[in-house]
Amino acid sequence: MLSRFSISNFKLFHNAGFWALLIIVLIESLLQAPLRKRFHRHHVDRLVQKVDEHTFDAPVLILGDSIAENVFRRVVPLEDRFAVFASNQAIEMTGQSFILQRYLAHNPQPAIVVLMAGMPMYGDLEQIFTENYIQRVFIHWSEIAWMAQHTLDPVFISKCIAYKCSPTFRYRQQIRESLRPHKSTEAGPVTYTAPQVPKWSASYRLNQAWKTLRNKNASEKALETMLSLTAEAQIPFVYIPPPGTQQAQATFEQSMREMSRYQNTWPHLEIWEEERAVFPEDNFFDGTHFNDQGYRHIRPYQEALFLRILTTGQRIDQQTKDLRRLNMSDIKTRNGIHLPQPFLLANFYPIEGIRSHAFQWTQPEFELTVNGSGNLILETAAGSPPGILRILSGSPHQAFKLTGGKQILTIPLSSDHERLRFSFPPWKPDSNDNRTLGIAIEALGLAAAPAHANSPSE
Amino acid sequence: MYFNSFQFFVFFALFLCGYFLSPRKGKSLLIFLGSLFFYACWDFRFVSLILFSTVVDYVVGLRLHACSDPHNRKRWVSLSLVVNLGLLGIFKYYNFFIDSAVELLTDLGFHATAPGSLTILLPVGISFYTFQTLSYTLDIYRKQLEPTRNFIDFGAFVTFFPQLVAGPIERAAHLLPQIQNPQRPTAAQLRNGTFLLAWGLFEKVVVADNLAFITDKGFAAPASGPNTLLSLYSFAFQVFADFDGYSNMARGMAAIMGFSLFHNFNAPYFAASPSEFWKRWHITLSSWLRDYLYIPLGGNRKGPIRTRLNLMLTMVLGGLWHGAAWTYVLWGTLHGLLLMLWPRKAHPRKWWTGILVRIVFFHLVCLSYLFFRAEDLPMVLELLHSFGQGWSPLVNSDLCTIAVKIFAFSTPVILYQALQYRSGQVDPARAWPLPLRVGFYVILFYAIVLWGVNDAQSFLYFQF
Repeated sequence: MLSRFSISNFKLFHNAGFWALLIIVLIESLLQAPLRKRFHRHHVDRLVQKVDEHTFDAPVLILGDSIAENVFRRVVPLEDRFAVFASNQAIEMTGQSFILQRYLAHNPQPAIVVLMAGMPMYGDLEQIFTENYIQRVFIHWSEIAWMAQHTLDPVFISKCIAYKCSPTFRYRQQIRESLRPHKSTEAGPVTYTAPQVPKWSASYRLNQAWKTLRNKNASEKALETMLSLTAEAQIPFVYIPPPGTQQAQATFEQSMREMSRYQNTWPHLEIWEEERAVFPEDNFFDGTHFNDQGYRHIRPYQEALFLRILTTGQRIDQQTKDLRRLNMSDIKTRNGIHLPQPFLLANFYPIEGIRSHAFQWTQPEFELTVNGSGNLILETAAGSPPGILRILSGSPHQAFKLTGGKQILTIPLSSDHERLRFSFPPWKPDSNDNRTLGIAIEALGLAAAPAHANSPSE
Repeated sequence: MYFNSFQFFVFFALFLCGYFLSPRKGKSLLIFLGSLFFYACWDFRFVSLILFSTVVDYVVGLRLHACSDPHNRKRWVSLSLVVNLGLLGIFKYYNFFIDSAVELLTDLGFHATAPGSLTILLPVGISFYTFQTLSYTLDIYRKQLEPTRNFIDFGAFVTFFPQLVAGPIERAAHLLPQIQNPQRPTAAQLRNGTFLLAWGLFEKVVVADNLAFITDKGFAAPASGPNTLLSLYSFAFQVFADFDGYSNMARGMAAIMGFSLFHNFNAPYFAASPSEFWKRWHITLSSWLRDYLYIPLGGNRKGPIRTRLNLMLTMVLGGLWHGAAWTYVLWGTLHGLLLMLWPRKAHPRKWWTGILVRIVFFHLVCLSYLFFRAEDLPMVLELLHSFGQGWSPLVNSDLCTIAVKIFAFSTPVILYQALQYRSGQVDPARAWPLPLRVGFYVILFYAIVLWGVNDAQSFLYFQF
């Protein structure tokens, strides 16, 4: 009876594959740290290592492609103000989003996040560089899960998992080179190529069908993730078009079109379109990246740009420290208006330099309850219709006329529990009716309310 | 979807999950659908072609069985031959024959123009599944086989994905009963299947794909005699490792699913004569040609001259089966000549003469690869011309580097062949003790990861 249940009777223990797997898992686990330390990596690898292993306390976080890297890499004297994580277009928005997440997880929150990238929506995790710059580099389980969710491609995900679990696989090129530089095989260094899938392949067609179904590509989803993260953390997100030649005007215009779509939903997204700089072609060695002459010429542009970024970042950073942040639990709504935690549509953006929350609604009437004291600052967006705001608590009820379009109101909060009712004409879809309301609370005892506070009209 | 791609391994893993979870009756349907999907991943337009061929042979098989009149039976089997060989002729040989006829007529002084070349792709694996389905109808015609009434079973037999695109060419009498009555894999099958899969992958991505760089470079610019010779050595082991790797992976996957497939190679480079070589090289093709071409032509029953003619015809057609080009015809012809002219009953009596004979024969096989690998006849002439050049100085650093690389990459397959030859077993690793197999797996894993060519390279035999 005993022998029947003996370990030696367990079939798995007689399986060579099982033991080999166990040994390989053991070796790979032991190799994780030493291989990561030993082998040189490409610049995205180094960037990710920098995010993971160092602490930054800069008010400005820079993300972007290789042009951004060109523009910002000479900011060494300003290192304490800029955390530059601009890298390469190859990492797409997906990689930018992962870098942002890793940065926010390990470092004090920046005052401003800057993204500089031409064609920000380009790429759908299927570029020729995707394997080497994304799958091989971003190997946190959460990142793999995100990519799994957005690609639904078992092959892609299997490869990510292989890179995660096997450092030998991840660093095979470096190991080959260290064993016998450049000559260990005729094949030379490891090459990465996008799979050549013929258009008549069933798998290609399935992939295309899935792309059509999922509506948005991975880059769009990743940008939304970045915007959502920064909104939640109350960090302004600035998009700056990269400098380029006149020939790149079409790319610039496309980038502007792509980014401006997000402004209505994410009011904390600022697009500094006016910062687009055009330089002569002889300032670039390949039409895109600066040569030495270009670097000399862009200095005034860089200085002005850095100053603007720093001023913006510094201002908001200081105000963040000085002013009380609005606690979202202080705001409650009725009549079907929800401010979920974290907000889906409610984002952070500054009103007159004060941090605010914003949200959109479609109902003709809704109520808002604010628990707090100080000055309540409201801002309606440019596309908002005219309406009326009534303060329901206290007596007599005060009413404010909302003229439509952009308007800022500062209302002293007379009690800790103010109820406000907003009334507007019915909402029509596909109209220019963009009902976005920004709400901020200015703490008592600090700066006085802005001068343009409206008086009660009724 | 190559066997050496991530895509395939994910497909196979998902397929296996479904296969083991599906009820016994549903397994052949799953094989059929999975195989059609596998095939559609190349080009789904050609799924209709394989389905058409399957339906025709299924119907012909049933009609042949039901029919007792010899004339009608001949008509039915002719239908199968016309359809299968017709499809093969159109898709594989149409342009070749038309172009060759035009060239011939032009050379004879006639004014000839081609009626129009077909710009069609060669459906992958068409030569393999055509022979497989033909063997089914021919066996029924010869009353050696009972047809199946279950279309799904027959479809699964024709399209069985592990061996669909490059063999081994199965016979219905061997594979069909296994599909009709699927068994759970035994522990030995799982063990052997895993080994074959890992070894086959190693042969392909480490040996064949690395040697391919040397071969391609050598054949692209045949600089000197020694260089061409080394390129031929390189190609000899590349083509073996490539095809044997594929066959082993096919057998391995089938074994993991509980099936047994024919083996295709058994230490061919240890052969001491052409007839022994063809009993060891691409065994399923040579036995098919023997059973359905050589023996029906009369085999060796009609005198020595006719026997030699039959051998030559079989080998020429065997060469043509590999590709629609005169180089393949010449390759087949050369092997036909070797079979015709090689002295019979010339078994070496001493061990060193045995080695010498094997070395000589291996070099003749390498010489035949010159026709097999060359893209056209002018290239063959260029390669032959290069043999006469550059022998002095024989040793230089470039050649030494190439020779060392060929030696390094081919040694594992030579050693494994030696084991096969010595033990007389196709899968000698079966008898290895557990620690040896464990160590072997670990070494294979690291060799594949570190030295494997990571782009999924096509298998050479997919083009045939």
